[in-house]
Amino acid sequence: MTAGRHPYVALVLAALLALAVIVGAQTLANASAPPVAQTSQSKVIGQAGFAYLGGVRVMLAGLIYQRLDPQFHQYGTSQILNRIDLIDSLRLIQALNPQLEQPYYYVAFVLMLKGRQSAALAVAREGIANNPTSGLLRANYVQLLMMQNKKANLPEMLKQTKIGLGKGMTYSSVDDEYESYGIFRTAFIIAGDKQMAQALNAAQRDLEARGGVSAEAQSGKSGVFGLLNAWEQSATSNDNE
Amino acid sequence: MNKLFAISQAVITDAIRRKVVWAVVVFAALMSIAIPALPSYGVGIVDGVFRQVAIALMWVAALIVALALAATRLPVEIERRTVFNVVARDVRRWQYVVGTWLGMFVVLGLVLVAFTVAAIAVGWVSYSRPMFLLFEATFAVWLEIGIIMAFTVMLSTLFGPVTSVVGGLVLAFVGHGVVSFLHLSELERAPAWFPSLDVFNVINPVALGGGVSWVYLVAMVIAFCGWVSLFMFGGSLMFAGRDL
Repeated sequence: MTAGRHPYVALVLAALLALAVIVGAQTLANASAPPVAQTSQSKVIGQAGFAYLGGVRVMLAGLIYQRLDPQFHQYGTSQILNRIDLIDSLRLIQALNPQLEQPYYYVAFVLMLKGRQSAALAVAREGIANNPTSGLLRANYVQLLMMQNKKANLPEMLKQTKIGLGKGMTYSSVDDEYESYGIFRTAFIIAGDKQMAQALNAAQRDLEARGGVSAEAQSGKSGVFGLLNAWEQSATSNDNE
Repeated sequence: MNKLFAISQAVITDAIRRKVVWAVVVFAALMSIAIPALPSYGVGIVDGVFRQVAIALMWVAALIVALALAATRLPVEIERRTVFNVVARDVRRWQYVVGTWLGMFVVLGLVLVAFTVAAIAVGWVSYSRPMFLLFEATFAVWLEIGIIMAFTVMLSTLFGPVTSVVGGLVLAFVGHGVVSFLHLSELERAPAWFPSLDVFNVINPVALGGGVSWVYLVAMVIAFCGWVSLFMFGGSLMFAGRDL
C-alpha cells in the first residue's frame, strides 16, 4: 500500500506529520517558558482557559466592582444585610477576576452576618487560596474567626495574624494595610498580648505619619476594619438590650 | 513562487482599497476610552493591567479584521466569477488558496504593528513609559490569528462567509478553551501532547514579566508552521475538489 495509490493515506500522513510538528513545538515551548513566579509578581491573571480574553475579563471585573464598591461605603452593618442581592454580582466579579481581593471580604462578611458561618469562612479561605500573599484577606479571615467564636478560634486567629504580618504579604492600598493592622491588633488584644497590640498601634501611627491613609480609614468606619467595628457596636447594643 | 506573491499582492492591494487601515484608528480610540476604566490595584502593576488589556483588545481587533478578510475573499471571488481569471492563467488552485492566505497574513501583520504602535503611544502618554515588550505579544497574536485565518480560508473554499466566520470563532475559542477540560490550575501550562493554541498565550510573561525567550519564539513559529500547513493542505484539497 503506497501513498500514490491511496491519496487518503497521503492525507492522513500529512495530517499526522503536522500534528507531530505541533506537539514537538509545544514540548519546546513548555521547556523554554518562563516560570509563572517570575512573570507575575504573585499575581497570576489570565487563566489559560481564558487566554487572550484574560485582559477583557479583568477589565470587566474592575468595571462591575467600581460600580458596587461605593454602595458598601454608604451602608452600615444593618443596611448591608439588606443588600444581599449584591452578592451575586460580587461572586461574578470573583469568577471574572479571582485576584481582585475586595469582593471576598464583602461577601464573607455579609454571609457571616446572615448566620451562614461555614459558607462565610469558605469564601474567606477561597480568597486566601487565590491570593496567598494578600494581607487584607488574612485580616478578613481573622475577622470572621473572631465573629464566629473569638475564644475557640484564638489559636487560628493568631496563626493567620502572624502570617498576615509576615514577610511577602502585600496590600492593595495603604488604607487596606492600615485597616488590616486594626484587625490584627484586635486579635492580639483578645490574646492579651499588649506588646504586639502596641506595636501594631505604632505601625498604624507610622502609616498615618507617612501620609496616604484616608480620613475614612482613620475613623475606623471603612473597609475591613470598619465592618468589624460596626459589627462590634451592633453586638454590644444587642447585649445591652 | 512568483504566482504566489502576485496573488498575495493582489490581496494586499484589495485590503488597502477596502480601507482596512481604518481599523487601526478605531483600535486607538478604543484604547483611549478603555484606559480610564482600568482597575487600579495600587501595588505597582497598573501598567501591567494596561498591557493585559492592550493585548486582549489587540487580539479581539485582529480577530475581527482577520475573519472579515479571510471569510469573504474566496466566496466573493467565486460569486463574482473573478476567480476564473486567475485559475485560467496556469495558476494551480493550491497556489490560489495559499497566495490568498499569505496576502491576508501580511495585511494582518501590518495592521497589528499599527495597533501596537497605537497601544505603546497611549501607554507612553498614560504611564510615561514606553512598553516595547508589547511587540512580543504582537508577534504571538500575529501567528495565532494567522492560524485562525488559515482555518477560515480553508472553510471558505467550500462554505459561505457566515459559516466560515463561525468556524474561525469556534477554533479561536476551542483552541484555548479546550485546555479547561483538563482541569489545570492557573499555574499550570497546557501539556505538550495536547494540541492547542495555548502556546501562543504570552499574556503573563509580556504583561507582568520580562517577556519570553528566543527559544520560545522559535517554538511558536514551528507550531505555527504545523498548524498552517495542516489547514492550507486541507484548504487546497477542498478547493481542488470543488466544482467551480
